[in-house]
Amino acid sequence: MSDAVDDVPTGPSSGPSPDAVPSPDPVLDPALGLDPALAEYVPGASIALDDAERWPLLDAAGAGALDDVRRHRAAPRWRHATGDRLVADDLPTLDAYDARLRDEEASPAHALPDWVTALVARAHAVVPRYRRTPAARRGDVVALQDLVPVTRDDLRTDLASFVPVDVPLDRVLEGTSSGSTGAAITLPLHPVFLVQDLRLVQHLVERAGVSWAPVDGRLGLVNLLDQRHAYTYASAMTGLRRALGQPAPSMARVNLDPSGWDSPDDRATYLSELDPQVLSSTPLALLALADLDLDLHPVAVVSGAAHLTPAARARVERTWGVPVVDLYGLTETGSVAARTDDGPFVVVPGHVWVEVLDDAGRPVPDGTLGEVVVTTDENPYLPLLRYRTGDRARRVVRVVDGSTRVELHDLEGRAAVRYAREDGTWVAAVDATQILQSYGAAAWQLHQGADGAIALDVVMDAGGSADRAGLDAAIARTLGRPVRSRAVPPSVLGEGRARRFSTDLAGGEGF
Amino acid sequence: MNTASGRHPVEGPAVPDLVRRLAATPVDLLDPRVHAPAALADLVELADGQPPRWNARVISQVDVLCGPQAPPVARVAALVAAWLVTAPVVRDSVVVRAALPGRLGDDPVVTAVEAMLTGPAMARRPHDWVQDPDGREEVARAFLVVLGLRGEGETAAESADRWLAVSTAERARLAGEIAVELRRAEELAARLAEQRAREAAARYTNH
Repeated sequence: MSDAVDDVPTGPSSGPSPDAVPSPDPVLDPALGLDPALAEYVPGASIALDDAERWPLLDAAGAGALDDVRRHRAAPRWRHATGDRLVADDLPTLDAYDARLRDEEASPAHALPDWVTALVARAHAVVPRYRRTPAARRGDVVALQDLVPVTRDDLRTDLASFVPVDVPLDRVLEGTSSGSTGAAITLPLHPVFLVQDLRLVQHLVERAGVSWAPVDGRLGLVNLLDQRHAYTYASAMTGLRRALGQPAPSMARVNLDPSGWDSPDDRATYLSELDPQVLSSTPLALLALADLDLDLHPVAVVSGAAHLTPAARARVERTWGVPVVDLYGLTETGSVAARTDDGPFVVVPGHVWVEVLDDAGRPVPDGTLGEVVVTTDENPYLPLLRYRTGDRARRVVRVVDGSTRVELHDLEGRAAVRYAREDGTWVAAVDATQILQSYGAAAWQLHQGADGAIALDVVMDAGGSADRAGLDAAIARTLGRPVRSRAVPPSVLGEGRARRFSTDLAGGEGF
Repeated sequence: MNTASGRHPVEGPAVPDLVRRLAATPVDLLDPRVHAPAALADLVELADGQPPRWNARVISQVDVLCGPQAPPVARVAALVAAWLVTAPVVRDSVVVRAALPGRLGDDPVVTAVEAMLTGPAMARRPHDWVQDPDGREEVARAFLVVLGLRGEGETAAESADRWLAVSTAERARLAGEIAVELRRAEELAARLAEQRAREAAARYTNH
């Protein structure tokens, strides 16, 4: 390593660089009105690192840009602080990922790729769930199609059996996923896996014809939410692919909800002055942002977490006039497929292999509706073989412009649902999710009828955290109206693909 | 020698026949004071109906396996193995003969005994080969494993699965793997709990 002034500390163990900006004291937001069960959202509750640990690769220029974002006079009430945790040794891995994206765009696999075969073999050697099978112990060669699909419940009940025994755990980060069954599951995530998602966004945005080069004074990306409680933070994107010597642009995770700001004007000022280059959000939050009519000039928009309807896409495209990438994926698998129009999704390049299976786990003919099942090894801590997503689609292999691609048609994932309070304001489904999980609900169906009445069918976790009475009261408070609640056995809710959130009220779903 | 990883092992002798042979091992063969090379030669003669005609290489081979310089446990093991290998069901098996490697002039019994003493059967004491029911089955199956054969009437998978169930070495390996997995599970839980109290990492998209 040279001793150039732009050199960065290598690895979290090297200690704070003399050029590193000292961590500011978090601007703690009084937790007024916070449901007692949501203690994790107390601002600053999980802050434990310094800036050098958060961004080992951050240089002085990048630190200065980040500080401008964090300390902006109209900055939101930051409820969290977190970095990308990347070290120098991660950069070649990320570059190799970029190369895979380019290579697989050039020759996408529609027949079983070699990496899947290699993954199956590796899993039978080092992943407990697979290496303890009779076939593995005999040394048999096993085909992917012979493997029993993996469910969320498998991860929930025996996570460690899916983690390879030969991968050091020193970089593991904790992630959570809600999924379609309701109860959150804990997942081991690798920092590189998370930044690969950013590289994929770069790749997809560029494929849509957009040039995304960092600009001084602008946020590189905003991850936008619109919910009552959310982690909000500013971070430096040291993992963003960029020209040599260019400082890392900043990103911010920001909540549109007024509770996240000292004043309503701050929200408009902050977003307008920092003018994020990429808006990354959910359909409902994007529509809410569009309603604010701010002076924003993104180069691209990324939508995820719920179905982006044609009407919503049209509104977003009309508002900003830039490509809108609709990204489908799960926290467990990472991104799986993407589209930039109302047509089918296209499975993303990289190590992502998609099958569509029937309820019995058998492949269905291409073009037939079934469950999307994903095989991927992009997360070294959690390679997944035939992971059931709980979402349904038709798999079609097509040649478009001379190039073969794997498409997912009629993808049925999560619809964007919101609930109307008696006072006419709306509550996003995710706000109900947080309450339900915090009071120990394992699975549920929450429905609002055409007359506004709310019904909750809930399966409570058998563990000690279940508080049914507290849940009923908290849900009623959150939704701002009485709730007719009943505890049900899991069989009432079905196989787990049942809709968690639904509504018959006009304006409550999709738009 | 073939190993258990052979994909299509040929059918060999029946495991119950081999187990019965081991159970009937003459007690004298378990006495470490017996002159093992001579006893081995006697077993070969009994099976062949004539004294063995061993060349210098074979004599040296026998001496290494069970001569005076060999440990007592090896001497006993050689004789019990020879007892097994000279069973009519083994001696008369074309498949076994075909599975034995060797050069011109080698004695197939000695070759087979050498394979047994360098194979997985040695995970157990020779006395267990005779006196312990699980030990008898393990040695019988170890014999098939070193020859790359499966038990008569068994599929390859059945034979392999049964071997994995009775093999001392495989059970020890499995126990070791399980111990590693338990430690890993504890470490993973601890690190995830620690990370829950610290920070995760920035997210760029929503799923």
